[in-house]
Amino acid sequence: MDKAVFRRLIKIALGYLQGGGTEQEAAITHLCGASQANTEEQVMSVCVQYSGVISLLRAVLRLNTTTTRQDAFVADLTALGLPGEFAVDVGRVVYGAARPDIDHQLVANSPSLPTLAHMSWRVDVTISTSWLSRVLEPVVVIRMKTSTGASHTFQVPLNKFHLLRFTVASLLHQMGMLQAAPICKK
Amino acid sequence: MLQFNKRLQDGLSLVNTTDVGKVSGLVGRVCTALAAGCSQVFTEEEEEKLSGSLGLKVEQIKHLTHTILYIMQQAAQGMVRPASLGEQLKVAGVLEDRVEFFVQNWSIHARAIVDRLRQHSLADRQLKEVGWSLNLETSSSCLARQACPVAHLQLGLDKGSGWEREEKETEKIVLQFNQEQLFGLYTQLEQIQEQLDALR
Repeated sequence: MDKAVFRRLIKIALGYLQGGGTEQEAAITHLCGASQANTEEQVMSVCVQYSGVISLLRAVLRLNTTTTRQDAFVADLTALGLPGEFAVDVGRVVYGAARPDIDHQLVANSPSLPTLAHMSWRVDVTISTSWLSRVLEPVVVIRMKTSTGASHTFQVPLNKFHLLRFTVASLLHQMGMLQAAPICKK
Repeated sequence: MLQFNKRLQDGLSLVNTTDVGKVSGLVGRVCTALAAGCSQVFTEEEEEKLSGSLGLKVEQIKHLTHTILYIMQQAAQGMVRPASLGEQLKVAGVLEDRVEFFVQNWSIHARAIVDRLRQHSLADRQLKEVGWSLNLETSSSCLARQACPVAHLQLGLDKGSGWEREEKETEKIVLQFNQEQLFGLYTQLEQIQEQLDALR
């Protein structure tokens, strides 16, 4: 296989693994056109190579880069049967500068509970109600939109707001301490 | 402050005719129920027993209880002083010794009742509880080894916290945050706090 074709396949596969969808199909069609793969078998073989590259990248990106060294990794790949230059390319992807970004995207795509997409708020002061003629109590109204698309609007009385603020602050503090703990050293 | 109509007059005459000792107990009971936020002062069986002991029909017991409740609620609404409440009741024709009980119970329970009523709101949903858990993601199908702290926040929203409604359904929302997202939330909460401080 051509080296340039292999490099493009790697790029498209990386885009797919980082959460792409439809643009990859268009890119593959373009690639087929560019490498003059006209008959059905040739197109099929390009697709097979593409899925092979995806599986290879998926397995290879799982590796911990601190425990395996790059040259040992490349040697392993070559021993498995991948041509030398291709193995070096793959090694460059795994150990390259873009690795933290790739990791970040992979983590973002792993299974998770709904996250907060957007929060808007309002502070109201209740002046008077049918139960009491003088209240003068502030109240916070919050609307949260989650990543699943659900929207929740609710009132937060003052004492609960302080509880929420304290909880968030203490969680942040604990997260910071956890980052510094030995278990987080990769 | 007290708005007089026929029904209230009937209730007040019931107060006058009921036994003095029982009136003080009733007024005290109504005040504690208001301060605790229960919508039903007496249960059905208690009303039956009361009707037996006071020699009145059950509807009259209900009427009596509602009259006392109404007087206390109006006192809270207007935030009247005990002396002023006493004056108005005397003007309305309540006997002196019974007025004493109203005034005494109002001075004892006023603060608790007003604090409880201050928390009433017409909101559809209110935040009642905040639960949290801090987890560390160590590995996933994408990465064999990672160390990513993740916080889960569970917000318990209560439907209905007014005087009239009894059923409370709690809806729980669970949200996940990594460090950046949590910091974003914290910044927004700080902005809200600044506004609250500026109100003072």
